[in-house]
Amino acid sequence: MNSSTLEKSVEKTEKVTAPAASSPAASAAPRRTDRKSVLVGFDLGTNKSCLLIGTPGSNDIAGSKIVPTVVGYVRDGIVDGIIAGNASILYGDEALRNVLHVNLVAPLDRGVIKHRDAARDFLQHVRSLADPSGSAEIRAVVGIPANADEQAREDIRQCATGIFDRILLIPEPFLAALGYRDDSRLGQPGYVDPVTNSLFIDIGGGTSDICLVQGYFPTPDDQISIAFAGDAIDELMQQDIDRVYPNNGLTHLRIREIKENHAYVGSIRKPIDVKVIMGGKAHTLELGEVIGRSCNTLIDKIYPALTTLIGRASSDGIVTLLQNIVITGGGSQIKGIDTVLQKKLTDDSYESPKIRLAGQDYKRYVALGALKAARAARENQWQYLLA
Amino acid sequence: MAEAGRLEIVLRDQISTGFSEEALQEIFQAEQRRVIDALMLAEVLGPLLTEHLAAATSDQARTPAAVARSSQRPAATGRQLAIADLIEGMLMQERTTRGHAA
Repeated sequence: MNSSTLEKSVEKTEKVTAPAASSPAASAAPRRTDRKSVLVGFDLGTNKSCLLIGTPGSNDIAGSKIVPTVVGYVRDGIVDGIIAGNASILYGDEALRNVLHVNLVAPLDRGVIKHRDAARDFLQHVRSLADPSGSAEIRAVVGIPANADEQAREDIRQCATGIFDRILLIPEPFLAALGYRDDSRLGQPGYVDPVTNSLFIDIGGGTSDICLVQGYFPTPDDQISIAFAGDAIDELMQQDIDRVYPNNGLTHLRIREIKENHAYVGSIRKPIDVKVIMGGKAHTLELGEVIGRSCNTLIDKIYPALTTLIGRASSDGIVTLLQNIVITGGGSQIKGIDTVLQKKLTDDSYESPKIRLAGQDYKRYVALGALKAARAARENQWQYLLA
Repeated sequence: MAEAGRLEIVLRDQISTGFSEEALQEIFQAEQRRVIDALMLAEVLGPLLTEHLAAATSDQARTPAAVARSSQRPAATGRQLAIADLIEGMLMQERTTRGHAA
């Protein structure tokens, strides 16, 4: 799939066709109404969410959106005309652009819903992106952190009730493997299907999820979710910066921006000079050590989990598995993360380990896997959401 | 089937009378199909697991822990893996977990 396919506008969801006779959805029980169906592959992330939109019976992607997972409630007293359309609630980038005029609420914390009302508002926004007409039947496959407990799942179902019509909750690292799978190369000599034998490390904002994918749906023993990821790195950086540069006035968003531009692991790199505005004046902070120390903590958290899961893998395909370790999610953009983890495995005498980065589409793999799952799900596998 | 029947009774008690009978029927029929599919899958998987267990226990090179683990897992086959089958595996895990919790 090329990026131009991914970038087709969401408005194309209006031009849906009837399900193909051979598609799983086509074998459904007779429909209650003539409502068109829209499939949504949805990566509900702590900081950023990605949705891919499709229609039953087609492999085209009708729309692709990445939206910061944030809701902005416009503050009282904002005069007319300041907020476009005098809206009372803003979402994603628009909420962030109007940070002075809204109370920002992040619906999720560490991968699970923390503010239900905000989560419902956000899902309603997602629905409006997937189906501007508001009349379609929405079937969404939603990515959830590995090892998400029943309460976390139920929270998503309840928030989605009345917004999506049918839902399937599937762990994110497994969806990442599905999304990463190149369907056009399946069966070709030399191509190893990542769903058959691989290990995925999905580093998001709230959680780092590590998952063995070995040709069956991962059991709880095959997945480890660590509540340390991008946000935790931000917190460590903020603590360090506050200690070295008191009263710096840097916001969480600015700290995240600095991390996204300069994050690295491995030996400390100096200098990394970052220009910031403090008290209205420009300053240059040297943050090489702060960034390196914070990011290296991620390695300290991930590596034991990685070796634990390798130890649990079936011995039959362990050599192939070691050459199919894939890092995805925002954490895959941390410079050197693949080489540092690979070197640690090599130093610990693992057999020819090879760690790869998922690549430039890392933000979309979970959603892409979710959309593939939505297309393939049998009618009786969808869960109904009764309003 | 009995499980689906019990679910229908419970749901009918909980769902408001304003919900259309047609919609309810569709849901209950889907639930019955789901139970039937699970039973059929169990019938297919049973002999396969038995066969797999026997092969695993005869493999002296493997540790007891590895044998126990592999007996819980359908092995990857040479054919291309169907996503719907993987989802079915996930749903079976969820049902098993909920059953144990209950």
